[in-house]
Amino acid sequence: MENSASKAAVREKPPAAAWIIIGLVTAITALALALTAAFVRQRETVGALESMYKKSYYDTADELGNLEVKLSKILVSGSSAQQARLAAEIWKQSGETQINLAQLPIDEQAITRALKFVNQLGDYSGYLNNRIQNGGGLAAEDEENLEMLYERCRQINISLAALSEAMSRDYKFTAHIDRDKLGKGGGALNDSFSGVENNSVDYPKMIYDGPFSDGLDSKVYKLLERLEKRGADEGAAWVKEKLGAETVTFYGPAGGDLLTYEYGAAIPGGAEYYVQLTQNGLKPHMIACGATVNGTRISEEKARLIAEQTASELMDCELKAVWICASDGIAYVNLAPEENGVTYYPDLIKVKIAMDYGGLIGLEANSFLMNHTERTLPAARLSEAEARARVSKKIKIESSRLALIPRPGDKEALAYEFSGTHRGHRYIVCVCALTGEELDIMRVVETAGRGSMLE
Amino acid sequence: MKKNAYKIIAACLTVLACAAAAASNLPRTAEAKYITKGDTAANIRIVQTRLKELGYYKIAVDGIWGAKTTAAVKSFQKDKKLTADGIVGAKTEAKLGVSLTSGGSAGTAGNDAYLLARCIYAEARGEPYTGMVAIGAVVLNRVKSGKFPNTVSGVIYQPWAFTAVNDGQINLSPNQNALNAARDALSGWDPTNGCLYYYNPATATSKWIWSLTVELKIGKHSFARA
Repeated sequence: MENSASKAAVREKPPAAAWIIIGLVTAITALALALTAAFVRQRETVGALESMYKKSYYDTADELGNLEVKLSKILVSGSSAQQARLAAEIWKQSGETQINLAQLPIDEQAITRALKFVNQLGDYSGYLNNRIQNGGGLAAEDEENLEMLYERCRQINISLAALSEAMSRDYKFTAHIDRDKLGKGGGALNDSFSGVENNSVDYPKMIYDGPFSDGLDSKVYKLLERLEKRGADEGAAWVKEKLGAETVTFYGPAGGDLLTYEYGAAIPGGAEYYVQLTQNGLKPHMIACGATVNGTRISEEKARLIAEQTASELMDCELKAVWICASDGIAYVNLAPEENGVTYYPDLIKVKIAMDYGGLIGLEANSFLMNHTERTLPAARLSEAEARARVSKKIKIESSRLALIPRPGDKEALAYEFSGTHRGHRYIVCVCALTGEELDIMRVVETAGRGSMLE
Repeated sequence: MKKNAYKIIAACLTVLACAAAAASNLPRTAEAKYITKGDTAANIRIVQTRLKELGYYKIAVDGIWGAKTTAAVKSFQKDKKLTADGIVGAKTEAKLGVSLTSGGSAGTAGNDAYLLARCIYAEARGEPYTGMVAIGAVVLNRVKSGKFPNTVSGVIYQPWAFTAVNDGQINLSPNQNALNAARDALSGWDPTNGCLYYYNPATATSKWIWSLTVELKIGKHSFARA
């Protein structure tokens, strides 16, 4: 009896080993299920990424094909209206092409060259469109440039056509991503763009009035051309005296188009300035300070006065505030020289004032250093009233001033600047003081909690 | 055994109840932008400017909601046969003929500033303030350059351009320093004077990046033009 009872007990309670086996089988099954789910999810994610790359590739290839056709048409067109229309289409399509091209996983050097080609093609077409619409035809130089752009576009398309064959054999972008090199790769696509560059002839530089013109690659600092090179020690003394620094640390010289000295300057109160002074003439190029601002204790008007006084002293030039915006306890003040009732916007200086203690916490003078020079201005041919009549009647004008404004291609124009409102939004309209043409219109964009910007 | 089953069911019901409660707190699509005391200065400025154009508001546009603003809104609402409650709801907004921004939204310019701040925070938190401004300036220099995409989001999300985008750190919330640095960079502050690249010499592995001429160093980063 006792024996059979103990046997029954053994049957009711499986041994510990059995429990361990059951546990292990359950754990392995759960792990297998989890791994399968993760694998499926990862495959879907990679699939989605591959689809995005493929879409970008096919869109890029289509758009470059269309661009080649349009370039060939503009080269044989004899009508100004047709040329302007084609230039506008190329301009628009280049913008779409660069968006798709930038999404492709191509090596950094290859992609920058390809993007530069597309951006410059669009930029140049926009410039041509404006010029043709203003009555200017295509010059021999333009035709040479268009021939060159057409040839480059054609080469890229030949190269991409070869890749299309690989695509039809289920080429996968994601399989060519080299994770060890931060994903840079692109396989055959990479080779095709590099190949285009290697086979291409040495093209001349594209210089025209546009933001991507090769002419803008090197900057000229007009103010500094007539100033002599000074020593780093003199610069340190300047920082100590002008900024009231307790200690000054020389970080070293910085290169590029603008040669500067860099300094760190500890000021009373614990904050530290980072200062860049030009080697020629020891002019401040930039002052930055990351000091925390604790609330607002001074008015915008007071901040404006401090900005005008401080910036005029540091730049050794009489400057007037032309724009002020307070945000998060900081007053951002833009200043420009004013002579004979004309405000010189190309010589703009930007200053930051801490609105708790009223001190300077930033200065940016790149435009001033590039453009401030002696100028001979033409006399205005339109009166203020004549220019005012050219502004839309919808805008309720509140103020106006005569100003020199920057124009594309490093040019400047004398204009009447009108500030007014329409439906609660502020607009600034610039009317040329010589021709009466509306040169620019800007809207002040209010951004929640971050002040206002010009758009 | 039965008791355990009840416990499991009770726990499930609690989780479901909590989920339902959480779901009920999810933000709903705003149907109207009610503007009243304490709203964003941006919206208040738009309302004040419009009321001033229409002759209801006589003092300076300051972005601060005070008694005169309320009185002007009420006066406008009365004239337009609206409920004169001093609140700018959908009907008052339509009658004023203005378009107000939703709470927290800052339009395209604000989105760029916030995205730039996130990039700066992810790439350069722990760097000196100037180093943070410099990262923002490099992004904007790329936007201006023909060699890169032409928008802030295009540059930041270009495949493998920034390690912070690859490892997800771009999604961290920026601190005030990063927001200020983004604002400075957008206002034109560029300590790098036109540089398009930067790298940390202690961690950079790309041979190509080492071949670039370093124009200046700020904090741990070396900056190069091309």
